Amino acid sequence: MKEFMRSIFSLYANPYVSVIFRWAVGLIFIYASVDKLLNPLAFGVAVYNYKILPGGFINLVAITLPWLELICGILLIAGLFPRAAALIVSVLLLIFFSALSTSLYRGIDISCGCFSVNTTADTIGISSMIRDLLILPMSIQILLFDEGLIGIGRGQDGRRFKPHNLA
Amino acid sequence: MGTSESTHGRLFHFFRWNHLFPKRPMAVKGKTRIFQQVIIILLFSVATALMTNALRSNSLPLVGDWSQGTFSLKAELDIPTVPLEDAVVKFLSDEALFLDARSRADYQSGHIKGALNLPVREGNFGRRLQEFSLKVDHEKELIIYCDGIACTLSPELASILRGLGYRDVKILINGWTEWTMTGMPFEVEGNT
Repeated sequence: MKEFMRSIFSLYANPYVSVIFRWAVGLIFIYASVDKLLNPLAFGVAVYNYKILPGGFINLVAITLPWLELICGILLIAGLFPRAAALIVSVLLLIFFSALSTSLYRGIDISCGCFSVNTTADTIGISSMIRDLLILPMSIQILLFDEGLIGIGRGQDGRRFKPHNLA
Repeated sequence: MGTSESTHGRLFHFFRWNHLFPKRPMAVKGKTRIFQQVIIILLFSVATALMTNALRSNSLPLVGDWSQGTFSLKAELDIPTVPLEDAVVKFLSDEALFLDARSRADYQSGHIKGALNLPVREGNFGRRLQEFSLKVDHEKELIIYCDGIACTLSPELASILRGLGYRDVKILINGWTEWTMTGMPFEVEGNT
């Protein structure tokens, strides 16, 4: 059992797995940002509908959050500052998760605003929370174990290729 | 593994991850570098966002007025909006005239029953506007709609009609979507 746990864990900790996760999370975040970037006002309405932020902050979030998502997505795929980007993504996912869960708890029937700003599509529900929780372990894996392999940035200790990873 | 070693000790040992990857200690220096990178990413994102927002055509003011339940167009253009319920009442009592600010093609593929089409962005808009102003009384209550929350066609048309002397001009935000969702009557391909 201990050996099995250890092999599962070392698979999770594998730096090549984080390359796959980087692409997955990166593509998800880039895809999620596009519609919001094109329609900031409509995304503002989606943010407003959550009724969490005070009105004065809604426009600022609607303007900056899509760019943050896009840039983090690009950095993850490019492998530049991947762990910092993964830290931001993890924090964002936790914020999204708490927003979703409080809205569900309060019984507000609103659209997610996750991937599309269309107010009629993609109503929040358990599925959007599960989706959120599936991305979180990937970003945490990147945060903990990424070594910047297959990317334009320099790895953890400043070297691009680390011999012990290839063994 | 000797029997003298306690279970607690072995479990504890397992959760100390170091023995799994002995060659990769997490450096303290690496952590501070990550926080620096996080700050760089945040600053870069905010700067890009603010710059593009200042340059783009459909930019938002940094602090908006959301007290009306939706971002109010009134704050920017001084044109009142009408809630969907009021619009429905006015439709049923035939009090107001509905105007569709979308393109001819959108209008033909479906519009609020009895609405007139004044496509602001199309070539023949001037002629249509002239016909409209001769036909419709300036005291008539007008409700303008297009589609989408961020649609700017209705405010454009509203300010033009105000310029022509129409006093009672209102906007139904996200009109076409809201209208079809309530199941109110609409027409496909009508004559304007």
